[in-house]
Amino acid sequence: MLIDNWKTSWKFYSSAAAILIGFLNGAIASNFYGLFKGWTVEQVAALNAVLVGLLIPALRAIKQHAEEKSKTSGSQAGFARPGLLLAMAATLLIGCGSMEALKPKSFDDQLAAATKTSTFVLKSTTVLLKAGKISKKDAQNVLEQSDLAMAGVTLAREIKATDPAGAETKLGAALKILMALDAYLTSKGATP
Amino acid sequence: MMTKEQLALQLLILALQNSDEIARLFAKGTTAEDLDALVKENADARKALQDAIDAA
Repeated sequence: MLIDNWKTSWKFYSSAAAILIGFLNGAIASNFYGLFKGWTVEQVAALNAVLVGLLIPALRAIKQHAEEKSKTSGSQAGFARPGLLLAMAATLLIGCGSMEALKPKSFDDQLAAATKTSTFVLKSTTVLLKAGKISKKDAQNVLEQSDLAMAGVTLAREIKATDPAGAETKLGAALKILMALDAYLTSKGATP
Repeated sequence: MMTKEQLALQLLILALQNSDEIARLFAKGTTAEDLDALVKENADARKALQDAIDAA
């Protein structure tokens, strides 16, 4: 009886709509079922924005409805939890989508990621040096390590057509250097 | 002098920009022209760091 009442009430349809929108949002972001393959990041972001635009008013309406009901019945509505869980689920799915988007699909993608990471390391070091968080000697060392990594990236790009295995090895070694530098800079940026 | 929060924010922005640009490249597929542009950007960042080291 209670379930029947709940099912026929307005909040059931609102909740179902919110869950559907949350699922669709996550599905699009994570390219679930491959339905949105070939879409650009901007197209997916635009559709996500539209869906989130629908999701927020739906959750707001559910909350308002619950508040009105709790006023009349004097009971706790308890709608914050489903809303929070839904938001967490959507965030998780979107996070999975982001991880999917960050997967390299070609060797050139890997070269691009390594080069961008080296640039990120150099820019972060500049910021940390100017802020007095690392010494001149430390910064010089980071610069030299980055040069070493970029030499590996450049060589990997040059030999990728003639020696793919060698190129993979060179790129892997360069990435190890960059990840170590990134971890070092993160520790410097995080400590007061 | 930059506060700890300002520094953390600046580093976070750099990290987010980096991830965003990598995701965009992966989504469209990196080309030789993209790689050339990235190498140029890297060289500019290297020069900026070298200048900061020299000035320190």
